[in-house]
Amino acid sequence: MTPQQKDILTTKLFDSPESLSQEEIELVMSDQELLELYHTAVLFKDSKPSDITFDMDKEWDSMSQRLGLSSDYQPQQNEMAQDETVASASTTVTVSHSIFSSAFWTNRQWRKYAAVTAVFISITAIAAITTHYVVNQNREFAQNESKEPLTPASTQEIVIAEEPSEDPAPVVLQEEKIFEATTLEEIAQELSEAFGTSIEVENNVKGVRLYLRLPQGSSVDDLLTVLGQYESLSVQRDSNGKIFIGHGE
Amino acid sequence: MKLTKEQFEQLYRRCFPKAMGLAISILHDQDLSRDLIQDVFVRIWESDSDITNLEAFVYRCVRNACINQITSLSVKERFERFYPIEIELIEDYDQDQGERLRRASDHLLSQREKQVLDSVFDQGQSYKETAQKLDISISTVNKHIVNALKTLRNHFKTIKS
Repeated sequence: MTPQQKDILTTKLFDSPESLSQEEIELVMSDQELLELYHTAVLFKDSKPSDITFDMDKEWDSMSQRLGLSSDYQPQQNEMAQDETVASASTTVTVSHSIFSSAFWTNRQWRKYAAVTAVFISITAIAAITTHYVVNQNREFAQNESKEPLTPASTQEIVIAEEPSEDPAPVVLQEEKIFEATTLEEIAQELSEAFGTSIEVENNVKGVRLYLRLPQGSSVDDLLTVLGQYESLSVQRDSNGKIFIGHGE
Repeated sequence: MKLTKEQFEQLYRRCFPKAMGLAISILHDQDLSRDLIQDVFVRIWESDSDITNLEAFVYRCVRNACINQITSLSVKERFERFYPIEIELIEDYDQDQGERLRRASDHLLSQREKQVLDSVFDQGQSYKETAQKLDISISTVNKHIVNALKTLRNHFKTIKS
């Protein structure tokens, strides 16, 4: 094939492939260099970061209609989820999608309410025990003071002073962490310091580079959720809280 | 074990963005990608099978559906839609590979070559539109494209070897 013929073929390949004749297609197919150039071009085009956005509620509506799910079924939505209905299909940062997905926020919301409820119940229980103790130990004091019920503020003071929580709040990131094409080994090192937990990475995945974004307030659970999105990774946590990252499937 | 509606919706909302990103990067067609993804989810909804890692299963199914879509086309149609000719290219494709290519293009290519690649492959402009925009000839556009692709291909060949 002459250089001129190659110029014509490459112009058609990349500018107007519909104009390729059958004979020209066969020429391309028989030329290793042209095929390699074409595949490099395809890979380049495919790797373009996508900035397409879509409304997840609409997407789900479309899916549920196709499945014929009953109209009385209430879709999973909450205030936080509605704030995050527009999701991005970015191919370079898709791993972070779970952080913004409604499910993630639903879980976080759930945990938040659960934590507040647990603290409230603890405060109430400890206040009752403390009051009982004080009454028994100092009847005179109790008689004088029992006319004045404990205020929430004083109850809280007692709790903080005498009953430190046995289950400390989970460690969360104080600031957003963004890793761009960073090796898993480096990510693990930084996050193990940030979360105060041990993260062990198997040798065969230490060099794997990831795009990872963890917003401020993310916990170890959130990290596990994000890493769990990768088919090629297997993530486990033992009973001591140590995290192991290995090769998946 | 069949998923409940709530579990199914949660799975769909969790997987859809990444699945769309994957399908669009291969098929370059949002509507087609959405249809394929919905097909995958219909099968999951109707299935009673026990699947241990549903999310990974969804992405594998989407990738396979994309491959099936491409293999159903003739070579001419694949060229026309800018799909891989050799299916191994999709099977071997991983996100890191594309990202490495992008990073390599940043430091290996001339400014003009990057402009031409961006115009033709990222913005989808024709050679003629690119030539007018950059005030160069159509044959120069092609020359820049071919040189840029050769540089990138040789770079990765060197790395592999």
